[in-house]
Amino acid sequence: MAHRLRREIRLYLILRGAALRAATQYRGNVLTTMLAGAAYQGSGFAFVWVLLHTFGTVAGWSLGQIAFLYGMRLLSHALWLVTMDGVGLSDVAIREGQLDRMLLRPANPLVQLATNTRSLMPFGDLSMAILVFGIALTVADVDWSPAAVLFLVLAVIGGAQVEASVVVVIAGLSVRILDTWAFRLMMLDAFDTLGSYPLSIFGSGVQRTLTYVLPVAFVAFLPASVVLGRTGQLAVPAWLGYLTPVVGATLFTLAYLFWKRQLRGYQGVGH
Amino acid sequence: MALITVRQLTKEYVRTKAVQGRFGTLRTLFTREKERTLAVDHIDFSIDEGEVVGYLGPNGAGKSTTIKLLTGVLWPTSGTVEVAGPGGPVVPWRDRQNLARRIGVVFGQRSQLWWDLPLIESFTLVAALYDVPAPRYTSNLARLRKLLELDPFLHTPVRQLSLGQRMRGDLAAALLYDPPLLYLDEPTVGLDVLAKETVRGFVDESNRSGRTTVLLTTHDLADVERLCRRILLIDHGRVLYDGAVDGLVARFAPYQEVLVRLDGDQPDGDRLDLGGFSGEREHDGRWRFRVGRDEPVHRLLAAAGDGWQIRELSVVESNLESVVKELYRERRDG
Amino acid sequence: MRRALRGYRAYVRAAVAIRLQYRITIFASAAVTLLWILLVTRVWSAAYQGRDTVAGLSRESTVVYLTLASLQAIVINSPLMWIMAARVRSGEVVFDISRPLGYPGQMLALQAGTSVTQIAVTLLVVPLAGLIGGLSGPAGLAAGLLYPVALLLGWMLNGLLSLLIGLTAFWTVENTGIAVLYRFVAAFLAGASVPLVFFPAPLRAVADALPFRYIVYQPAAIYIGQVNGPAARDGFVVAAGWIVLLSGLTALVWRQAYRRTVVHGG
Repeated sequence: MAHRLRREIRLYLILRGAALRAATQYRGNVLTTMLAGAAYQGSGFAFVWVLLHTFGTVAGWSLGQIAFLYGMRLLSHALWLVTMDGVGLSDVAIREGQLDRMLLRPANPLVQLATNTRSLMPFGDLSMAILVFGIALTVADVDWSPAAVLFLVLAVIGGAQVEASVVVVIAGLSVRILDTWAFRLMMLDAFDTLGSYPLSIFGSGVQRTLTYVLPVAFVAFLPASVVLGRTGQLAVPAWLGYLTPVVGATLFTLAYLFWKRQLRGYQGVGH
Repeated sequence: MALITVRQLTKEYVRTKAVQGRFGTLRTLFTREKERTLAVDHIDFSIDEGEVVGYLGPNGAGKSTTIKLLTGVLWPTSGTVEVAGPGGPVVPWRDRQNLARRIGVVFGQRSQLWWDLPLIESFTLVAALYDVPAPRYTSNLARLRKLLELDPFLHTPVRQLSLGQRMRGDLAAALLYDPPLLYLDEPTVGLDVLAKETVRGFVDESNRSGRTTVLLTTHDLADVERLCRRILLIDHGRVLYDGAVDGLVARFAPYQEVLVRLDGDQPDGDRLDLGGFSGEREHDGRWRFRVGRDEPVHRLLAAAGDGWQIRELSVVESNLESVVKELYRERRDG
Repeated sequence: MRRALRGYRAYVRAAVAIRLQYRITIFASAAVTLLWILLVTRVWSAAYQGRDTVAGLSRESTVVYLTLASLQAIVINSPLMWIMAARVRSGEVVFDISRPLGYPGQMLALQAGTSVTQIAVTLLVVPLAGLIGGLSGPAGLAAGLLYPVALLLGWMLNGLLSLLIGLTAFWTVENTGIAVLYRFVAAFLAGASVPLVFFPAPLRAVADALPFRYIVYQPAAIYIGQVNGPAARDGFVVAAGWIVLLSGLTALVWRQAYRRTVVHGG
């Protein structure tokens, strides 16, 4: 078991490396693509920054605190994007028959799908994440005990798993229905749009929906509230904020099982 | 010894009917209407170690589906497949990864190589995926480089290769880990005459010296004539014929055709009776007779004495191509 | 001339038909826009918190501005750049060039067709957008009359800019990076999520010096009465100036691209 896992991780790294080398073949596009990834995420932060420049706080959150929240969510987002970008392109891979080839190889199909990308945009997301989070660390007032740091690391990984589980479920769906593009666009956009802002700007109904139905709040808002000591405004129990690592691991496992189940029903393309 | 055993293999595609119109994709998710097509219908066959089998059938006959079932890409509706090997037989879809190490698969239409990277990188990646030990990788690569003449483009990105070069690369990638079983799906499609011959020669060589068992689907019957001793012909998901190439010709084309050119004045009309055989006029002026395999051709020659002089006579053997053409035509008409 | 016009009309119609095949995509982007309106108006309302007017804008006007701006910004996300790059990559661009209609004209017609469908869908979701964000009538008769004119100028500017970005494909083939970059930088500097009056001075200077503001900010600001009278008139003059300048630049770049493709064989 451990041996098999080690092998899959080694293969993952080899394949990811190959995908990166392939992406850098188009030199002219390397820089612009990374800039585009950064601009995509950065324009959202620029919006908050300009807003706070005028108003000072939004729903009681200062610039440093929002930067912390924004940076945390971007780190989670970049983490799943950098590692599993290819899963987000599952419908293309299936339509073009690449999944057939993945099923013919002695390696986990999800590992192969995850590395099946030619985009460098995730690294733009990642650099913006590091930048925003770096700014936050210099401005925000955070308790830096070892326990808090450990929680932060686990929460970022958990947040990445929450987002990744949504993408894996959609990949599972695209095994059955070939065109999931619009579906994925809407789901990912919901995370992109809502994940990085203090959800206390909404009423308690929306907050609960974004906690229990579409778990956007677990990605950054709830754990950041805990770390920043801002749990007073939450419409849901504050201890939920500590659960992000568990929620992430659970959702990702369920998503993986769903994907595996869907693969059994794979009908191939063009028979 | 049977390497592949197929029993009562059946695949029925069940597709949810796509809903057209607004929110079609979303509505498709919840609809219950199904479409069913039986692509493979209770087929049985087995393939022995060292055989080269041509798997033939018109488009839509169920060829690709069978290959996908044999390679574990699809789960069947019912029936079973076993692939023998060290450590016992494997059911493809149940133990995909284990099977993967025993088979090489080449699709003529779709490359498994890494498109943007130099060809050699695809080989190192395949070696890693299939856990090929370094010494074996080195010796296998050296052999394949020589056999397939890969050296001139080993460091060229795959996207810049010609179709023939790419196919040679694909063949090398499929055999790099010494699979005892090779599936070739249209390996010569789109290739020029020379490239086709390279591919055929290589497959033949792998089969002869490497004891690689080959299952080949193709529309180019020259591939079959050059490589296969046995044919599996399927249509509508069922096996129509399973046996030797010669047998197929004997069974489905029990006569040969004789072309005759006459000297001097030509007879009127489009038909000519000669020695009890009835001939038809060809557009080049020759006459075409169908003569049963057991019937004496010399009667035709003897009959020529009474009035008509034969200047030229040739016997056309019915070949695979004409037989298969005939079969496909019957299918379309029937 | 008449024949050329008929040709362009056919192009617009074809673009509409293509877009309609991807209805679900259009509705998905409408849904995404509505979600954005929900977020951006709530964030702003939370920021106002009790204050009535900030930087000369009331909370209500800001919400109307943001709702309009988000809808207008849809036009910035046009498939034109992707289509151009895909046709360069596949080589189909040769057919485009060999048609009797000019290539830039064809692409603008394509953009127009795309916009027709986008506008139709946008109009459909306007009531919802009003419900989620907030809408009211224009600031006055003049504002109501000038708004469509400003929109048209903005649309032309965006079309030309998209075309220019798309033309980079003739050099780089792959242009996803620059296309996405354009989409987000242009949307931000156009004022899609923040009315330009709130920009800090240096950023404001940058936004003012660039043409993007005429795509989103200028029309929406006219609508809510933030920009009127001489300021509106000056805006029209500058926007028209940009259109002339960018048309010239497009013609120039196109000539280079054409030479590159036809003379050097791609």
